Amino acid sequence: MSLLSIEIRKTFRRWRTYIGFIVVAGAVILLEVIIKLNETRMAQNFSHGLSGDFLISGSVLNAWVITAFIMNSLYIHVPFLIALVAGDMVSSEATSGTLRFILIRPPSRSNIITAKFFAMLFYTALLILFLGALCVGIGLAFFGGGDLISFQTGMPHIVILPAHVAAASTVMAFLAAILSMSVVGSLAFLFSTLVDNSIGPIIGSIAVVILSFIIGNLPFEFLESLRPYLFTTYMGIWQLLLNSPVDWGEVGKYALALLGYDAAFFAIAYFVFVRKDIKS
Amino acid sequence: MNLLSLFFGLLFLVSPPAQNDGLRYLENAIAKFNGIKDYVVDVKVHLDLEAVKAPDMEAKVYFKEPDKVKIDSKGLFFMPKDVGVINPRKFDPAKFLIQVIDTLTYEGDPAVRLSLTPKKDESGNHDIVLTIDKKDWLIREIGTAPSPGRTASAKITYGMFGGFMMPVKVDVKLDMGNVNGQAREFGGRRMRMNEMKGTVEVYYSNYKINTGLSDKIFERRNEE
Amino acid sequence: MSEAILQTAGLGKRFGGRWAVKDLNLEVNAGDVFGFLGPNGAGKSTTIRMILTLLLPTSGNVRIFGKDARENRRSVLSRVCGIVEKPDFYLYLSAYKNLEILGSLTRKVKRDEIFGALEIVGLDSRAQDKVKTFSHGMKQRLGVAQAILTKPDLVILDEPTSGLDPQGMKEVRELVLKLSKEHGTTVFLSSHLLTEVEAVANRMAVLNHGELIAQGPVSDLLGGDSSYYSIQASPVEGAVQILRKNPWVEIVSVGNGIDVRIESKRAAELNKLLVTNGIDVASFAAKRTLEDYFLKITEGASEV
Repeated sequence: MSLLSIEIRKTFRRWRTYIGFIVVAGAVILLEVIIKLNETRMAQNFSHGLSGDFLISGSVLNAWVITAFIMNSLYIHVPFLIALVAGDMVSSEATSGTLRFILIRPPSRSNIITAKFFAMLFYTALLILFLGALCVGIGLAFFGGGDLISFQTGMPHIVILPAHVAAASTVMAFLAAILSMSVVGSLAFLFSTLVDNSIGPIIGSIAVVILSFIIGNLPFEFLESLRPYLFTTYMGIWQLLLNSPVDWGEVGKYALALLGYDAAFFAIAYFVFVRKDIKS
Repeated sequence: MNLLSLFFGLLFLVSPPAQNDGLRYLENAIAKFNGIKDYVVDVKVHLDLEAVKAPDMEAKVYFKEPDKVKIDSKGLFFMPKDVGVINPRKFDPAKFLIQVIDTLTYEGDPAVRLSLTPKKDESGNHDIVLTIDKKDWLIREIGTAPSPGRTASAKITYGMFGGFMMPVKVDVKLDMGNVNGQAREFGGRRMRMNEMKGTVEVYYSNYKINTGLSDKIFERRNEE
Repeated sequence: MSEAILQTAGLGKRFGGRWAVKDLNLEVNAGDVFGFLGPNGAGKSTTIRMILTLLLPTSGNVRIFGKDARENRRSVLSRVCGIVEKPDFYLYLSAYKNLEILGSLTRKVKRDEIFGALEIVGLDSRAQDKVKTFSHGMKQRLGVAQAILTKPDLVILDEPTSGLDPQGMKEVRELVLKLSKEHGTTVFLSSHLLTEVEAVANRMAVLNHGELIAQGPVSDLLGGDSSYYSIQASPVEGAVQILRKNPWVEIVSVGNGIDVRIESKRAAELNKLLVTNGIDVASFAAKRTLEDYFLKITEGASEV
């Protein structure tokens, strides 16, 4: 067994790991059922801004639109589910004492922390892909396919991606969302190496995420100047992939920033863990 | 007072009021459409709006008098409401105060510009300006101001289909400027309407006129 | 001369301003059952953590199999295993899975090896049970199982009988002796129980307040065959008089009972002597607590 497979097996044998999947499944099913039950009104609300001046035809609500909508709605909630596991990767073993048992075995600390980090990334990727697959799967069953209406923060505001592009764009958006959420995971993972309890890293990382979101969205000049330095600024990378044409330069910039944060958080975690005295 | 001024004075007195002229022009334009009971047409819309980015959209538009419209599209489709489906009957003379505001030459032909002011001050009613070609009695341009500061205008090009002059292309110009601060919701996102600026080109082809469309076609809603 | 398997040279660890372990020089030879004795808080676990690279020493170094343990961590630790403090496991996994995971960190372990290790500690019938259902004693035994699973050359056991009932303690001691005798495994065993070390170890080191007090063969350190005995006898005065007549008996103290130091092999003789001289002997028990031992070696040190 490789270290990575050991870490993945350990992660997925814990009940806590499945909380994220259960919450995501519950939220997605609930949201899609509610949307389905209120389909007409939702469609009207959805196109409210245009229906005054435009005649609209075709499926405004479809799997791709609903998926983007749910992704947008769960933007702040999914990080919590990521932190729940990532914030526990190292600290739980310190708390339970099993870290001692691992670290007296031959694998180096650097290999162990790296394996744990990649196990965390694996969980993050799986949770986001699960979210995406569920959104799209239930969406297709309930609403069918169609053109994807996406909402952008810059200009244009509304982008309509034809049905044949929507699936590929959605897949790319979810892959980007994995990168986006991996930063939350990396942050929680870093906190997990700093302390010997699980609650601290989870709450700490969520607090940082929420604070960054707030700072990044408050319309004050001083706070606006901080935006380029906040990782949350780049977490919307997935939305860039629902644009037409995709601004690949911007996507690259966001991806590099997120990878940079990932690397920085991991590097600190690595440095701390490799030098850490195991007293627990 | 000399003879000349007396002549012009009398001429003014005996001239019919502008309302009557405008009414006549409008009725002539509407009459051009009288023989049309229904039609089906393929429509293609090309958007060039600042705030909305969409691929060219295609649909089949069904029309039945007096004002039934049904759009069938594979994907999402939308086109400007007031100027997308040309139906002169919606300019019911009984509902408007009609005034001639200009006479002009439109692409070499004499034309007149009419102002239509809704008699009822209801929500959604707004002034309409029509440019009617007096040679063929066709509505060549439609201008609306849905609310103060917001304008939409359409320039219509016609072709002959089954003995009727029908639109083949409508160039719509939207300018929602001067509405700073006004915002609308679309899909939960607030959007400043002054960003809804640009042009929409609507192309019509493959008309099938007076085929006896069933009312059932129009029973389902457009927005599904 | 036996090969030194584990050596510490000037090993020390300071937490803040306090030295938990200071200038420790240990030497464990191949085949030893090495008792690492000291009261709670003496620095035994800190030492073990430094040996197993869990703590970075403030001073000195650890050599295992002749190599610096930190610099040759992988090769060294592939031949070492143990328990550090209490045995902690993945409670949500079965005993089998725990051993499979922990063992595979050293090398590929076969199913038979896992069951073999579990059988040795008597847990083979509970292999598929989750560890959260295990008692403390069972976890201790599982800890021993994981320590011996990969058949290491050096097993380090930190207070392996802690929290066990007498039967459990006996089983662990027997297991340690079996490892040493049947498998030739070198065992480094820490304990705060002198009797435990005496029962299993051939060599020992004594740690107090982080400092090495003594190190050497158990028989030498425990005074050869000399042992302490506590005698409850009546009348006490009569018993003391008889004892004083025999120069091979050293009276240590007289109170409610009489504490004496004699050669262990003459214990029965002394008991008989008292009885035949009309003394009622209510109890005649060997007295060997760590406190007594510390008292002894401290006295010895002051005499030098």
